[in-house]
Amino acid sequence: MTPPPIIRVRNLHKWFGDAHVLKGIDLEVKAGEKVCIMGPSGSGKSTLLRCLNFLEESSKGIVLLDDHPVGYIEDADGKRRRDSEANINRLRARMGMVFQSFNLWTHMTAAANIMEAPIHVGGLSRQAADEKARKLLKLVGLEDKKDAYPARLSGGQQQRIAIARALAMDPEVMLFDEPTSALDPELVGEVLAVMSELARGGMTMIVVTHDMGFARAVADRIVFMDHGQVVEEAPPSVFFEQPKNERTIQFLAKISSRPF
Amino acid sequence: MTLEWKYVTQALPFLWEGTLVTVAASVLALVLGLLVGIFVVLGRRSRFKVLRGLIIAYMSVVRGTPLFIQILIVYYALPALGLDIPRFEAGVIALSLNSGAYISEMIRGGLMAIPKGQLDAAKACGMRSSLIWRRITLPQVLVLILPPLTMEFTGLLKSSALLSVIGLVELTRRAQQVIGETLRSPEVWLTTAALYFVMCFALGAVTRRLEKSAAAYRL
Repeated sequence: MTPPPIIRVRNLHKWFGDAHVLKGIDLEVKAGEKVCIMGPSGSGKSTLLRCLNFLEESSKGIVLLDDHPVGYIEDADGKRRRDSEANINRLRARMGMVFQSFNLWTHMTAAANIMEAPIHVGGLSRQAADEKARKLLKLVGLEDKKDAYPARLSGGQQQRIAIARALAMDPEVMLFDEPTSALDPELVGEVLAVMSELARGGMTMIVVTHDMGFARAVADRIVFMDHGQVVEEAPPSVFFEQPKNERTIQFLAKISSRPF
Repeated sequence: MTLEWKYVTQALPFLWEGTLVTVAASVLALVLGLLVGIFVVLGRRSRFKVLRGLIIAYMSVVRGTPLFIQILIVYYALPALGLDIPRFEAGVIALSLNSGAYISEMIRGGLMAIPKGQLDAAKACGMRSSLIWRRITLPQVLVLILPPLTMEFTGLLKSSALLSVIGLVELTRRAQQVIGETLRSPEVWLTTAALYFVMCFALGAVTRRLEKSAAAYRL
């Protein structure tokens, strides 16, 4: 028996003014599955990811986390109404998010960044949160940076702390928004290593990425987006070796001819 | 004419008491002004149109009239409306209402300097907006505005001299009283100026140190 989907997206639309950036997305992600979202810039990948935890408000359609609608609740007659802030926050805490630009809180040490949500959202004691921060710092290989402020850390280290921070609320799903795109090439590896480790541990992951190597090695499925639509969905072996859609073929030709 | 310091030395303890009142009024005005400033910033983003309108009116009035007149209004005009406020309180209120308008602009500038991504990260962790404000935004804004806030405090120390006009016995008023007794105007005013200068100068040194330690995280 296949596990039930933990995330379900149904007919999701998003307009920014006149720009129709998501044109009816349908997507399902099963628990434990690793999905990489790829596509040219401006295709709506990041917007889709940000709609999953309601950082971006969709214009139409619905996102379900474990059967709970996120952000907007659909009435029986299909009308949408906004959920309470408390409910939205509860659902958000069940999803961890990692950003392209790390977004660490610069006035807090690495450990304080990790402990913030467990203490103030999760209600954990300082001692328990400290214990948790130690474990997570060890997981991302930065035990020695416990008391370092983000400004003292390299990009790769900052991103690893950001991953630890996102894990601190014990999320059921991890969302990664181009986690290595802002990194110097020599720092990409350390972040991907942590993400691969996480994948091996069984975490459900949705990763917006341009990194073909990572997608090929870790993803169960590649979702290819273009112009606000899902154009092709396939396991990496099929996606990279036998792409069917014309736009996928063009895209793959472009990124594989990029000089590295 | 030669300067005669004998009387001034005798009057120093008397001037010192005035200095304490000056410091007390300025510190209180700064703290209240900061609260007013925060309230103004939050109020400007409020859903309530009336509140937003009131805040715009308040800002315009404060910036468009002399502080001197604002002090007179709080002390002499409000009692006519049934609000009788003692000198010290009236002075502090006038100063903090004045300061609050300017501090709110500093806070607005500080807010713009905080990367939006940090707020996204906080939301993504499930933090509610009041918690984000208290834990993420405000601490960083306070550090950012520390330098202009110091300037504002120096300004308050000096403009609190205007409170002598409503009869508050702070440093300037004391000086006037000492002159009334001794008739040594030049010496007393020079001494008073020196006292103000020392306060502002010491403040500068303290805040430079404060800035250094508070901004340790910014490298």
